[in-house]
Amino acid sequence: MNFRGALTTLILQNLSEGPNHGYRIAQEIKQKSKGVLDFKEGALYPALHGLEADGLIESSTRTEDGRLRCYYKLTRKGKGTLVKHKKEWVRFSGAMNLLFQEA
Amino acid sequence: MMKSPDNFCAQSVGEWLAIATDSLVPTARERIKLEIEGHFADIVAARLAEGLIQEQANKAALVELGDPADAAKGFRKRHLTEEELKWLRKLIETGRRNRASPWNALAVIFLPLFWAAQFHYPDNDLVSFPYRHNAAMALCLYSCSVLVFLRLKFRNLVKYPSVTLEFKRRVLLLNMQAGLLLFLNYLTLIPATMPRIDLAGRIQLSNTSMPLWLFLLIFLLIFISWAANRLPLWRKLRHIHPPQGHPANQ
Repeated sequence: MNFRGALTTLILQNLSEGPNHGYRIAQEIKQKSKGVLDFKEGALYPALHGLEADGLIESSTRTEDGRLRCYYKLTRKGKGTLVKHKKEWVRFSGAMNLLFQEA
Repeated sequence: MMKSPDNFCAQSVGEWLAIATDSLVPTARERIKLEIEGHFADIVAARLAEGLIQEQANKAALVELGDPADAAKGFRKRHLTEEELKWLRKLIETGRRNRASPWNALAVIFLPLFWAAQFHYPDNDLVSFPYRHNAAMALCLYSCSVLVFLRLKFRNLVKYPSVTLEFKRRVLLLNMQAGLLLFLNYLTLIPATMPRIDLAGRIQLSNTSMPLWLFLLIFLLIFISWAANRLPLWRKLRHIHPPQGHPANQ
């Protein structure tokens, strides 16, 4: 499913549940949407770096099973942005539902 | 710049990374490499657990990563490229070389004097120009430059200079300030050499002054196009981070 532009919101939503790393973020988004929201995982990192650059998330490295992993967590600014995105989405989807019901 | 042809699929994660991180600075490459290699290993492990053989698992992982050229576009929007870093180094180097030059000394005296005179003494009556205005303008310019470097544009560049540019923090600041003053100095010299142009707004639009206006217009267009080209760079500089695994990031 094409959801260009929504990936950042999906990432923020995932991170609102706690710090996570790239691979798990991708898997959780796919699993929770039952495979509907599928995307190429290489696109995840530019989006993550972009969110970090905008101060919505922050990263830290941890050693896990002898491997260095980069964990991301939501910042206060990110939490605010997520609330805003959710409100916009509810409004938008509500309007779409109304249109579909009329049709 | 490397480009992947249509329907291209990288044969290895190394090849994928080479395309995705092409033309990025080494610190950005390192960070992306660490994350993508880890991600790739996770996918391969998951596919092996599903019963695929190593070769199939590797192939499936590459397909899941997607087109490296698309990823490269995204990365280039967020990370400094080699070309941008080269330009930045040149700017800082110019500042370093001219830090103690007479031009820079002239800038300190001339710039505030010129601007204060333009705005407060449009007739350029410099005889009665009070020195305290000059000092106030100089202080204002310096404060603004420090503010710009520290708070707006170069916060992380200044925070992690050795990571990004291999400069020491103090040297970097001094060089950049020198660079800014030089830039402002050159910028000021252009209108300053045009006696007919009065920045306070009383401009005689006679036929004789038109070439000067045309010159100023061309100069402004060049400046705007230069600034617009460099906008992504300024935006990126605000968000420079040390690479993953760097002590500053632990």
